[in-house]
Amino acid sequence: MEQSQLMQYLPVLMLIVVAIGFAAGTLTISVFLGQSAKRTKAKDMAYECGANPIGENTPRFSIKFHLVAMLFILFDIEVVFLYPWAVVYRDMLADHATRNLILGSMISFMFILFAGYLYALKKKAFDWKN
Amino acid sequence: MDWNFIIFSAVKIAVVIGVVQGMVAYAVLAERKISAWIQDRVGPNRTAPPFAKHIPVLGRLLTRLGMFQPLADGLKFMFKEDFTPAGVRKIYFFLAPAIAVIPAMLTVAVIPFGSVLGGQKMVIADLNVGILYTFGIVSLGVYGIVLAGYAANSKFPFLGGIRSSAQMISYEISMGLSVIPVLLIVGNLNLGQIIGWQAQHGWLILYAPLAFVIFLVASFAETNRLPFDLPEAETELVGGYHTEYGSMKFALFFLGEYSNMIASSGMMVTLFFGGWTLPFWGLDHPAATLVSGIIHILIFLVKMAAFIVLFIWVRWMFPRFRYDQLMDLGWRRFLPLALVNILITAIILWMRA
Amino acid sequence: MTLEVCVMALGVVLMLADFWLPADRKKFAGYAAVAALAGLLFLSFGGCGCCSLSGTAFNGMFVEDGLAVFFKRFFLIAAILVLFMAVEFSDRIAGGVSEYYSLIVFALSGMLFAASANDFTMLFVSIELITITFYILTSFQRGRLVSLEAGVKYLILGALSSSFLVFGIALVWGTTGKLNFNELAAVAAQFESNKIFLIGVLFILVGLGFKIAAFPFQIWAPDVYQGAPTPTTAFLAVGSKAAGFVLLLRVLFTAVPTVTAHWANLLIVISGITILYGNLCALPQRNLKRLLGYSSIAHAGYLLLGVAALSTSGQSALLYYLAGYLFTVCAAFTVICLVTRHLDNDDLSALAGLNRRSPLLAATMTLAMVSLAGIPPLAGFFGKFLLLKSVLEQGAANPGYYCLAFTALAGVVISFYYYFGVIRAIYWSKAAADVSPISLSGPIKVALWICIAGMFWLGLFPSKALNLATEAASVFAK
Repeated sequence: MEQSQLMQYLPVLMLIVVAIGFAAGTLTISVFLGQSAKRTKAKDMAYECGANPIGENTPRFSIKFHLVAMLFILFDIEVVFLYPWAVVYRDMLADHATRNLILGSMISFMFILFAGYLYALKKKAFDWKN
Repeated sequence: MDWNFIIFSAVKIAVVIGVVQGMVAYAVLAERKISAWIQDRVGPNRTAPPFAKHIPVLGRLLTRLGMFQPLADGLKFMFKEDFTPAGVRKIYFFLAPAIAVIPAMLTVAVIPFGSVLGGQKMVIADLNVGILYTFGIVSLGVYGIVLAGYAANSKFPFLGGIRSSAQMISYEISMGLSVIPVLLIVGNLNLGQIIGWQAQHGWLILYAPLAFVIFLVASFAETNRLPFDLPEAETELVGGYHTEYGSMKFALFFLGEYSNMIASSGMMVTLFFGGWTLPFWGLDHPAATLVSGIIHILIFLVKMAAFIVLFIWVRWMFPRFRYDQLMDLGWRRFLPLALVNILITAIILWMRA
Repeated sequence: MTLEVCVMALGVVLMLADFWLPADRKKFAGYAAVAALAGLLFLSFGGCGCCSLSGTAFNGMFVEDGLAVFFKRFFLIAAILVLFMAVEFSDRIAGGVSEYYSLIVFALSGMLFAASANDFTMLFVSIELITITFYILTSFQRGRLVSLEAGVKYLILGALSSSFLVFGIALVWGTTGKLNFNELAAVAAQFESNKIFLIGVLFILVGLGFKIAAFPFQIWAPDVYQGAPTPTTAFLAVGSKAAGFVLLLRVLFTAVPTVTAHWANLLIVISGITILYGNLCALPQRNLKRLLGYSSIAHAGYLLLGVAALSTSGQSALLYYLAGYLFTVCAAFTVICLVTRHLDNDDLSALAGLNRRSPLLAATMTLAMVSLAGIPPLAGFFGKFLLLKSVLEQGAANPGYYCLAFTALAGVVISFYYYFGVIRAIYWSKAAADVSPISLSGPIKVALWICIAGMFWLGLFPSKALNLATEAASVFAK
């Protein structure tokens, strides 16, 4: 069983090798086949609609993006918790003993998740207008 | 070691990669042609190899339809100057396109593109955790774009990269949540079994329409397609994260985007539209003969093509969202909607059981 | 379990209440939380199913026994006193007062889980729940640089200690394959000579040592105590430390008792050095909170006496001492919180003329210092007496215990100097810059009187509390 479980992943591994080979191959081919032209100073500049670049090339950006990243981590982990629940839900519903437990535990989990969501919402974490 | 298994897997991989790349090439053509028709133009209609005019009617027809255009495009990308600007972070600059395209190619591994052909299941890897695998790989896709934005060391790519990372992770949550009702109904993560369930009980779009809508919109955002193409909004950010890229490196981003589009179409067909099955003519059973096996593959491809056309059609019909509208839609509309959808599905199942 | 769920729900309600309460009503959210927790405490004594004396949950990860119940009541009282303090402190917090209350309640729920942890997973989760909320609580005064500094220091060192803990748990699990304390105890004897297993246990002790601020891991304590908002400091000194101790007791005496039996000398050394370090470093301190920070290190050392004794009497003495420590420290920090209300720093000179400004506060502070120093008839004296007694009982077997008892006594003598420095600052300082009387609100008077009553009750009538402590410690005798 364990053997065959691992064997299932062998094609994925092969596909990864193929994908990496493909990406590396096309990049290399392009280096060799691509024509080479003169390098000029203007060509080397960072593109800014034809004007000379002004200021830092990696400018400061809104703190909102960090907030989104943190919220993503929180919610994504909670989503992952929902997956195993969803998979066993049908089986546990069929069993009379665990019928209410499986629904109740998830409703309480969703309640906490929703409280967190409401909190973020009220803190204007999703407000991008200003 | 089961050499038979390895050889068959290798053949499947080769065919699937070949077909996907071909579809990418012709999806680009379809994009150009459909946009042309929508805008009352003709689109690419004259690129042709020298021998084409010697073929009687067919040669002219294919040229008119632009069938040779993708070949010319590919060759052009390959022979273009492979220019690397002086200011970029070199290693990441080369790494980014590769990282963008690799996950896009890996997503197709678990999608069953047919039932059975010659005793082989028509899926590269029949994983028990199929959906989780897909989401895991899809979320890797964001790295390529962020890295591209960072590597280019230039303002427009940088902003594009930042934007796309926030956008993609925002919609990933809705996407992940939207699939849960499907899992609740089917009770399995294996995509083959999900299709099997649909063959018995009917397509899941009938059971979870809201989930499908959320999934559809989220996949538009995940693939950075219009109306959510903020990371590469031409009017604001020139080319977004790939502004500084040219030649094959740019082509790989392009390839990644279209591969993602194809993979999402495949996922939607599999999850909500019964995959390779059709509810009539007895096409909902795994194929017994070679012919019906091929028919199943064709059904899958046709369904997928329909979704690709939908992607293209939407791109040329709708205007772009503003960034705050985009985030608002993702976090304030779809996230609670998806949560409520899960809750309702769970309660209905609980009452029925 | 019901108790934990109620506390969690209270935390969520408080957190969301912030958005709908008008600004001038936010104080009442704190009082409401106090009332709710007091109700839960009352129910825990009434035995309404909240704290039934037996049973496990989550496949034995969560255990409800005498020790758990003792510590749950302890944590509830601590949280109530801290919330009283937090309400008084609320005008010094820039935004989100209700969040501050709710974070205290969340930390409390972590402590309640810690009291019942019977599994390394539960141990880690509860410790993280406590620590992560404390990172925020510590840096809650966003405008004050010292508060932020304290938060960052606590974050970095706390993360380090958590990683030690996790590595330790991983090694223990890797060698034995057990996470449950009872299951581990059954097999621990087989692994006594397994180096990797012992390193794992050691790492876990390091992680817990950070939480209780025992000797080589005490470095964060003074800075964090000084910089954090005063209610946080009080909760850190009482709640977080007690949670560390209950987990330490469970790990040492439930999970790996056979290993602990060989480690008496290690515990003796750590305990002795912690006592000396805390007391000696407290001597030159002029900042009140920093002084109490060092004193809390010293007290961690005293508490470790009870662990090092490796006997039930030592464990019950530890529990008794913690109970006294709770009221004493809460009293001291409540006074600091009230006195420094309009001041920027927590310098010792702030106490000047306190006996004229508010006799109640002066008396409370004096009693707290006397109790901390260990002078009869207050709680601190009887606790130290019990701890020393339990250590001396073991002296016949290992002469190291005599040295330890001597060190502890020396520490007590040293501590007289700085505790009486505080009392002197109250009554005998010449230049009192501010002699305006301090007005006290009704609820905070209640909190002060609870603290005073607790100190006297534990000092004068120790039998009842001692019975409870012995009963709780009997968990390990089995």
